[in-house]
Order: sequence, then structure tokens, then C-alpha cells
Amino acid sequence: MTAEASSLKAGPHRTLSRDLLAPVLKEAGIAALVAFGLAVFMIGFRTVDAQGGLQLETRWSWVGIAVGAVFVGRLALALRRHWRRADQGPGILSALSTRLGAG
Amino acid sequence: MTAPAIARSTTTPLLSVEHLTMRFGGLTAVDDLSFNAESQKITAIIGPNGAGKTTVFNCLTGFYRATVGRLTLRHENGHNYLLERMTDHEVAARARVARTFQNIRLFPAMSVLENLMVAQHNKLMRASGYTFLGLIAAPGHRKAERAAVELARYWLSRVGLEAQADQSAGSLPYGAQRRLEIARALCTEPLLLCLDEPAAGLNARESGELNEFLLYVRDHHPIGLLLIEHDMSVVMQIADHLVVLDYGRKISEGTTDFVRNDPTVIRAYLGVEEEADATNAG
Amino acid sequence: MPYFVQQLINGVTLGSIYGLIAIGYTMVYGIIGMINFAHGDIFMIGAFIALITFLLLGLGDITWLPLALILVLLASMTLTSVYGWTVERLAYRPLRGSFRLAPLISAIGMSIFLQNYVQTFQSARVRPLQPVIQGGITLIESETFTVNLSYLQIMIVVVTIVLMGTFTLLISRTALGRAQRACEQDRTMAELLGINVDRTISLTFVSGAALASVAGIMFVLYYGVIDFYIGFLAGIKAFTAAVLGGIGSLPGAMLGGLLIGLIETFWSAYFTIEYKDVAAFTILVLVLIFRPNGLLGRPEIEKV
Ligand SMILES: Nc1ncnc2c1ncn2[C@@H]1O[C@H](COP(=O)(O)OP(=O)(O)OP(=O)(O)O)[C@@H](O)[C@H]1O
Ligand SMILES: [Mg+2]
Repeated sequence: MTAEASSLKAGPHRTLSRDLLAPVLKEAGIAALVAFGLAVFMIGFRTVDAQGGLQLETRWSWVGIAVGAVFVGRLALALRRHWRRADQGPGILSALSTRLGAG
Repeated sequence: MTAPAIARSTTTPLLSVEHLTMRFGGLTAVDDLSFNAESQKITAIIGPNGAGKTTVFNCLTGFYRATVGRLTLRHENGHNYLLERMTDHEVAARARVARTFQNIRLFPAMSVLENLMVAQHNKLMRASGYTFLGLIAAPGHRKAERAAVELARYWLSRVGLEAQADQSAGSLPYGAQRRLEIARALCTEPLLLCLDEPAAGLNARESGELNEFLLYVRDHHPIGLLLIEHDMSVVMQIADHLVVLDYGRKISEGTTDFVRNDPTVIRAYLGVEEEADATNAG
Repeated sequence: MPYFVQQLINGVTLGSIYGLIAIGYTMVYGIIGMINFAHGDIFMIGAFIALITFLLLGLGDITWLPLALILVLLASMTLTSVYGWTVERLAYRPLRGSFRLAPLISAIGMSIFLQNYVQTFQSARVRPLQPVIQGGITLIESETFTVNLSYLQIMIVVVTIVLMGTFTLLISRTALGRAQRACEQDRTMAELLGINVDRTISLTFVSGAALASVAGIMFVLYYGVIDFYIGFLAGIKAFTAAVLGGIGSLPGAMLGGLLIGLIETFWSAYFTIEYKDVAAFTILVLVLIFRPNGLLGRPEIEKV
């Protein structure tokens, strides 16, 4: 709601650099968090056969790669969506926060 | 935001519709429509079949995305909501606009009371700590739930359905379903209530009761009412302000007395121009 | 007679597991009218997360069993829910409003994807787990046959009853449950009353996944081995259970699960173990022919 009001006052171009980064980073951060939740057990640990049962092997680097890839990918998507909106004038932020809120 | 080029009343209106246009392919269902609606007033949109009345509602409630136009809803606290940019649940939950449909859309398999509880979803969801507190019957949640039932019962008693609270909504007679639908919309605690032909299918007595109820809502609650009708006689008795649409364009606007005597309106309603001319001449 | 009692116990245990998975199918069908074919694989992932958590706890020397079980429950339910949420968000939500079969095809793709994902990152071989909960009660002792009720079986049935009770409460008494039922009947109207329908659907997937993960934990504990393929058969049987009970109906899913568990167990006990899967599918075919709305299904339900 506050985002809507501020985007009305500021011109479209000023909002691009400053106010934009926060929601876009937040979106990418949430996606990365979800990716971490997905990967932490299923990729982070691998069950390997050993005598008398199973043993765990860790692969944190893979988890790091997965989370990083999701973060970068989502950031790119969010930015691209933003640039597209920017062509249509002000109100991008409200639209962006709307999308975030829905997601 | 530049000031719109339309006449403003002294008080800031609850809703401003400015230059609303809605096109479906080649068809322009609403054409450059501007009007205001105020709180505690009944604003009626009238016009013949297919004039674009329902389309206006659909744009207001986020159902359709307006082709052109600005729809501003102002809250007491000075917050402005641009409805044309919001999704439908946000329009209801944040801007607090509620609506009913021309055809009845209740949740028929739920009880009357539950229909009204669904309308209070967001505050109950918060109170239930997104469900977990609700499952362990936490006191805070029980209190919120009780308050919601109370609000539901208040509106039920107002529309005369208190005795049917536990009946399934689908089993009610037609007139009762219509009233329940309005009660449900009111349970969302709206600031603007949009009613699409609420009197459709009601007999004379029921429609008279409905008018009384709408006047009660207007006089006792901080709500603006927006009413669609295509039968002029119904609204003439209760509307404070009329907007007349024909083929998507506003052909007249004003008090009931003004509109009743406006020759363009008479012509649109009588349909055939020659006939109108003939009566004028005679 | 003792043999029969033993089979009854086994059947109810198995039926509990199917019932928990079936709820996920039925709820998703109820709210968006779609069969989530990836749900069985969500159950499989729940079992894997439980297995890994058990191994981790073993490393961390947490030996007090109730604590270990609660930790496994928390880990598996939370992380499996994330899978349930993600599957809906990525594979189904973008297709909402598309033609009817689109999400179904997407679900089948998701199911195959999840199987391959687990196969790649875990292993294609069966993963064993040493018995965690041992012991039981001897109910009947005769010269020919001893009827055992293991503590694990008691736990499975009790947990299932508690969860189903909780869920019935959720659907009938909480704001979320009311919103789910409202979305079932008229999604547009629910939206116009301020309900975030997308979020309600997400939460439906999340709760279905949480229940499936509990079924996964029970499966690991009960059978002691899992692999990436368990979701397929268990999923199809749970789906059969949901159809048998009347898809869209919560008590129907529980009843259907119980029946399928019993039928399968008695079939293997009295006929032949080889065709036990055929039994479940024969039931599916018969139900679809003679009672397409299932045992507790409402025939008048109409999708808008
Ligand atoms: N989704 C749509 N796609 C195409 N045309 C539409 C759509 N919705 C409405 N229209 C057209 O727009 C015009 C206005 O329709 P609308 O429903 O707003 O009329 P109305 O004033 O509510 O009429 P009534 O009194 O019959 O309810 C009609 O010609 C209708 O066919
Ligand atoms: Mg209409």
C-alpha cells in the first residue's frame, strides 16, 4: 500500500534504481530460500551403502550451486518483468508488489 | 496524478471513475465514462439492456482490466486505492469494495451462517494464526470467531434470515437468497457496496422491503452504495444520484428529478425516437 | 481365526497409510478439479527426507525415541511441504485457465521428474533403514498361530486417527477450511469476497504434502526399505482409495484407504501375494463402472 503511494509521488525513473531493488531482491531471496528448503536434505545429503546400513555423505557445494542458480535466475526474471513494466509508465511498483503478494 | 476534468462536489467522493473505457475487440462496452459515488449515498447506474452497466462493475472489482481509465477509491484515512491496478481479491480485501451479481452466486452447499463467515475470511485467517491457533482453539481465535458470528447475525437479523442461519444456502427460496447475498457482501465490511440488479426477480413486496433495507444501510453505516437497475421505477424512490448509460456512454447524470425529466433519457428509454417526438408534439 | 485377526491388523495399518495419501488427492481434486499425479512422488520424497533425518539423528546420538520421532516428523513435514508448494507453483499455477488436460499432463511430467530427481541425487537402489520401533503386544497365542500387534502398528493407526481428526476439524471449523470449501464451489465469488484463491490452493497442496510425508515416515518405519519408485504404486493405490471413497470427499478418502488396505492384505493372505496389486486395480475398474461417484461421493457436485 505504501509502495503504491510512493510510486505515485516519485517519477517513474527515480523509482527504478532505488526503490526497485528492495522488492526484486526480496523476491529472489524468497525463491533462494525455497530452493534451499528443497535442496538441503535431498541434495545436501546422499545415502550411501555401508556395512550394517547406510551412511550419509554431504554435498554442500551442490546445494550452494542450486540455491545460487535459483537466486540469479529469479533476479533476472524479476528485473526483466520490471523493465517491461517501466515502459508502461508509473505504477510498476504497485504491480510488482501485487505480484509478490500473490506469490 | 493530475486533477480530472470533471466537476467535483465539495466533499471528496468515495469513488471516482474517470474516463473509464472498456473494449472487447471491436465492441466498446463502456465509453469514456466518468462519475463519482459518495459514502452514505445511493448512486444508481441505470440504462437499458446491454448498456454496459455490469461491465462497469466488472472493471471496478478487478474482474476485467479496464482498457483506459482511472478508478480511485478513497478511504477516510486518506489512503487512495487505484482499483484498475488491483487484482480482485485485493479490491475486496484492501480497498474494501464488495459486490453482488445479477445472477445469484452463493455457496449453496454451505450453511447460511458459513456463507457469511467466508466473507470474513481474512480477519479470521489472521486471528487463527494462519490456521494453527484455530486448530488448538486458542482463546484469541475463539474471540475473533465469536465476533464474526455476531456480525453475521447482525446482518442476518437485518435481512430477516436469522431463523435460517443453519439451513443450507441452496435450500432457501429465491428472494431469501438474494437478501443473503447482500448480507454476505456486507459482512466483508465494505466501504463501497456494488449491487447488480438486486431487485431482479423479486415481487413488489420483496422489492419494497429491499428498498427499505438499502436505505437503512445508507443511513446507519459508513458505506457508499452503487446500484445497477434497468427498471427506472425501482431506483427513483431511493437513489440520491443517478447515472444513465446507453450504449456504454453516459447520456445523463443528476438527481432523480433531473433525470426523470431529461429528454435524452426519455428518448433512450422509449427506444424509438419518432415515438418520443410524436408524444412531445402531441 | 487368529490368522484372520492378524490380517485385519495388518490391513488396517496399511489402510492408514493409503488413507493419509488419499486425502491429498481428494483435497486437490475438490478444490481445482485436477488429479495431482505427482502426489505419490511427494509421498516418496517425504519417505526419503524421513530416512535421511533418521540417519542424521543416528549420527547425532539422539536416542530418546519420542524426541527422535518428533524431529523426524517436523523435518519431513516441513520440507515435504516445500516440495508440495513448489510443484503447484511451478507446474500447475501457470496452467490455471488453460485447457483441462494441461495440468494433468504437467502432473505426469512432474511425477516422472521427481522420480528421476531422487534417482539421480540419492540412488536407484533400495535404501534400507534398521528397525527403529521394535516390540509389540501378543494378543492371541495358540499352538498354530500367534497374533501380534506391534507398537509401530499402534503408532501408525493412532497417528492416522489424530491427523484425520485434526483435518476434519480444519476443514469444518477454520477459516482456511471454509475458504477451501468456498473455492470448491465458486472460485470467482471467493476471490471477490477477498479470499486469496491462489494462496488457498497453495495451502491445500501444502497440507496434502504434509499428510503424505507422514505416510512416508510410516512407510519407511513399517517396511524398512524405500526406493525412488515407491511413490508410483502407493500413489496409484491411494488414488484408487480416493476414487473408491468418492473423490472430493474427505471421509471418503479415509474409508477408501482403509478398504484398499484391507482388500490388499486379505487378498495376499488368502489367495496369492503375486496378484495383490491387481486386486486394488480391479476394484478401481469396478468402482468406475458401477459407482463412478464412489461410496461417499455426492453425485450432484458440479464444477464451475
Ligand atoms: N466478456 C465480454 N466479452 C465480450 N463482450 C462483452 C463481455 N462482457 C460484456 N460484453 C458486452 O458488453 C456490452 C455490455 O454488457 P453488460 O453486461 O455490461 O450490459 P448490462 O448493462 O449489464 O446489461 P443488462 O441490463 O442486460 O445486465 C454487451 O453488448 C455485452 O455483450
Ligand atoms: Mg448486467
